[in-house]
Amino acid sequence: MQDRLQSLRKRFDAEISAAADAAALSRIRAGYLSRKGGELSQLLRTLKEVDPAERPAVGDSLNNLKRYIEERLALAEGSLVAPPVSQDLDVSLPGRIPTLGSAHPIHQVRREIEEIFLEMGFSLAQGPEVETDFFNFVALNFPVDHPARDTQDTFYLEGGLLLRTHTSPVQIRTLQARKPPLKIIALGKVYRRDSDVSHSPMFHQVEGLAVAEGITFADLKGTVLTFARRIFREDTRVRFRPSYFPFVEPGAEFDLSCVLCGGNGCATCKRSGWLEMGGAGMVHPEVLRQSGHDPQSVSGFAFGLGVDRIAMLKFGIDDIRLLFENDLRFLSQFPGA
Amino acid sequence: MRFSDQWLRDCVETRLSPQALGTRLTEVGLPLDSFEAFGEDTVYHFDVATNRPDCMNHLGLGRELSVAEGVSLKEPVFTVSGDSPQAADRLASVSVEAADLCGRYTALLIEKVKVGNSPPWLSRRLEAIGLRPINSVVDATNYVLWEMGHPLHAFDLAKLSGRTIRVRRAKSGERITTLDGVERKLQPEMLIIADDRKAVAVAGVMGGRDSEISGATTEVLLESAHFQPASVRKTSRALGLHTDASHRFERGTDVEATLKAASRCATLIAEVTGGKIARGVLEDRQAPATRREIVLRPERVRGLLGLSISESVMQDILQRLGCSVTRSAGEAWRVVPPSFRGDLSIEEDLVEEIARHHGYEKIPVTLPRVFLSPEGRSEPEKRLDRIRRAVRHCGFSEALNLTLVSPGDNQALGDSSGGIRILNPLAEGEDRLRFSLIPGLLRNLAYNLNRHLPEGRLFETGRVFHPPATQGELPDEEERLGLVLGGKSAARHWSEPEREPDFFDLKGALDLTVRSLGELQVEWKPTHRPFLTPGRGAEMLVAGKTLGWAGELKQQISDAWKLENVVLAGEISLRELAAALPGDAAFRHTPLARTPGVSRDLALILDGTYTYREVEAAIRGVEGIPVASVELFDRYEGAPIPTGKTGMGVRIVFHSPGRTMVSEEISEFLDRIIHRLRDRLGAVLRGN
Repeated sequence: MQDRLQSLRKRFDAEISAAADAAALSRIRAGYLSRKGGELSQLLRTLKEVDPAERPAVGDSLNNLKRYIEERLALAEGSLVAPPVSQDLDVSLPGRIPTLGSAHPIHQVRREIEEIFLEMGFSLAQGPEVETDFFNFVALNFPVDHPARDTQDTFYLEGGLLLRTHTSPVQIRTLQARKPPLKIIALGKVYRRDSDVSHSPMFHQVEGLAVAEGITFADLKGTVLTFARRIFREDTRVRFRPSYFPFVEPGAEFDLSCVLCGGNGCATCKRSGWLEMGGAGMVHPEVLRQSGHDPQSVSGFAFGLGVDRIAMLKFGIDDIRLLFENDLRFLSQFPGA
Repeated sequence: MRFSDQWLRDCVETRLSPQALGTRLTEVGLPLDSFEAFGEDTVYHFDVATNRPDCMNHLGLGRELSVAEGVSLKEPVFTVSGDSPQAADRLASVSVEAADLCGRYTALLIEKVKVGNSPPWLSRRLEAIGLRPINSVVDATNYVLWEMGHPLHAFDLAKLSGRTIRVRRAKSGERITTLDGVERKLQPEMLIIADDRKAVAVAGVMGGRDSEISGATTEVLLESAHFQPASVRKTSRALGLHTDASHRFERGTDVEATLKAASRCATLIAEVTGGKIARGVLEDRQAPATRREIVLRPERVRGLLGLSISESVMQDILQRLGCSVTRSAGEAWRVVPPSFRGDLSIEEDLVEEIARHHGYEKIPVTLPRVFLSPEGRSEPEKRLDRIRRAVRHCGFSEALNLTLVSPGDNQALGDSSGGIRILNPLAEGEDRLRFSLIPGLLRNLAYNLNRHLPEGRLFETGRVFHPPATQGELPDEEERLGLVLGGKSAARHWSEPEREPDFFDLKGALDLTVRSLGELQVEWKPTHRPFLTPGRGAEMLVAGKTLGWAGELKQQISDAWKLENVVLAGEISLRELAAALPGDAAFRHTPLARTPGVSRDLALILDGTYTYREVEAAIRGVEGIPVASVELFDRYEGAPIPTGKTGMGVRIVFHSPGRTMVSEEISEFLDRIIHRLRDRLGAVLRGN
């Protein structure tokens, strides 16, 4: 019986390979599967004559062959071109695609920055955009009538308020509300009275702050380097230069090896191979003390950098105003995550 | 700040090229901006930070280079000859009457001067750093300021009434005409230099014209003083007068340097004018001697930097910078910085000095060994992400606008006050904080539609600002979502007819967005707002709370933003939305029905004044009927339906969990619903 099934299968294979049209397939179908004269149907009927001990195995084989024949026939029938009944569907016509809006490049970069720092164990913090003189200046060691304030180009509001000139007030708000150890970043809008190709009166900064026992300047370098390599490229180098910000001591500015030319010199880095990225340093003891922490028992680092600048570098945007013009032809290039 | 290469090389022996010299100084915290040729000289532009007034001159910058390069500094050599037979104190006098604002006032006198043009070497130096030569005496004072950093002023002694100098606060109503020819009104808190009758200079800012050096001057009183930084800054700002002198005084000058600078300058004046320096010094000093002692622990240096550095290297750097270092075994160091380094006052300042001359690049790279349980994103942040994603899925692109707007922008959206004012705006139309996200979005929409896009859909999330309840408190910053939609035709597929965007596009987007946060009960009610077309505005409510509004903007609003077609806009408060969300009960799924529901359609005709909401409420209001859902599938007005009537096709699904309903039951349910619709809304079935 099994031999008969084998030869039947071979014959079927040969016939179906040779079948050229629907008529041939339909003949094959009838020859094997038709209830009355189909060969398989006849074999099924003889099953009861088989030795009861072998019957289940033979039954399985028969059923397998029947399924095999059905599947191959279905495939073959499907692959034959149906005779043209009416006009073909023009499958090149556009499908119904729901319109997907884009995510603003600043927000995309913002998320990317936040993810990197979240993975490094930082938390996210926030603060108001309208600030007091105390949080924006005094608590950050900018005394009243100090020339360091000149670098800040501040917008003033009534009642002694101002638009924050940096995200650093969030350092103070965090230090007042939380106990070390802490690691936070704060990302948001800041304001300066400045406007040209590379400056907008409103832009975005990200501030980092880590305060704990034994935090060092080396930790600051490592944190900034890790971030720079994750957000730009693995071979990015970071250069720290001494600089002055009243709320850090020692203070620094840091440059990245140009993310476009890799440090060889190009138009973006003005042939220097370096891009100025932000300010940083060890939290000034006065800042810690003012917020109720003992600078002898904890230390910390802080850094700040421009989010818009990161977006511009990543996406090759050379005029910051493009970021706030909201031209849909520009925005729609950023499908977003 | 400009520096001359030749001048710098007079102060320090170096063979570095201008480029390398700039790089070296940049590495120690004095960044070179650029440099260019200036005749035979080279001019550098360095950015000198506000805390380093000691580097705002050639010797000071040279000192940093000498420490960095390990070469010696060449200070000018001079001796005060005092070769005039006259004693200074017999020719003039000085007295300080406001010692809190002037700690030291030093003056030297130079007689028999012949004022003329400066020698070419002097003029060239000044021109290189961007100064205009004036005359030999004034040029000498400017030269010494740019050489040693101490500001000086030369008076024509003969013009000083009583041949005396009094350093005092201005009197109320007192006036002075400064060297620039402007008459200035002085305030009582301003420090001035006066003779025995009137003000002759604004202390630390600018001299007066009446006593200026002229071709006729023969006797010079050379002032070299120390003024309180904040006082000079306040005066300079109040007068709107910023000078090389005020720039340095407000950053802090060296009280110990006045005599040295005066002597150097007097020597130079004598040299270039042929004058004779009177014997003796006129001085009134009430400031105590400068001596700051800072305790430094070498282990603190290593601990803060994360750097292993030897004590001898630390000591060497500090000493080359001019600090005196006292070490005794087992104790902290005692460091006295030089008097010109007013920026060094605490241990961490010295840590920076060591780090910067050792090299920031030598500090290793590590990560903080701080272990905190990760917090991740907060719920409100996650919610904002979901909202932004949902709006984008409705085809709206995200915009980001300035939060600075015009009062008109705020007034158009209903804030009659015009919004919180910025006292010193940068540009017209950017002098208020936004009260709504809509004006910015309308500007974006107009910008895009003017560039021939058939439709624009934009949204923004961000803060709007409400004035504080009490003056001086922070304004209320409210996070909002704003959407605008406009153009000639809504985004469509080629198989569908063209149509203008309408209210329901916007409503749908807002519904989907809010529902992306969970199963929420959303309601819409008609509303009237001054900026919406009457009858075309709605209020959005979630769990009974009003979140905001949506609707067609009034013609005058769209006209104001130069928008031609109907514009739809909506704005909701994300804070109110958060408040309306149910508590943080964990989400549970609803078990699926095991028995099928039965659906029936009703074609209703009712008075046009009734709303769909009323129809649905009436259907759901019939007691004891298991209505699973009600859905409007058609709405029709016009023939053959009588005028004033509306046709509505409503699909009702009945479902009774756990059992199959029989058709008699369903008929009875429908009868009761039809009765109810007739009683409440006067609705009749179409075709009946």
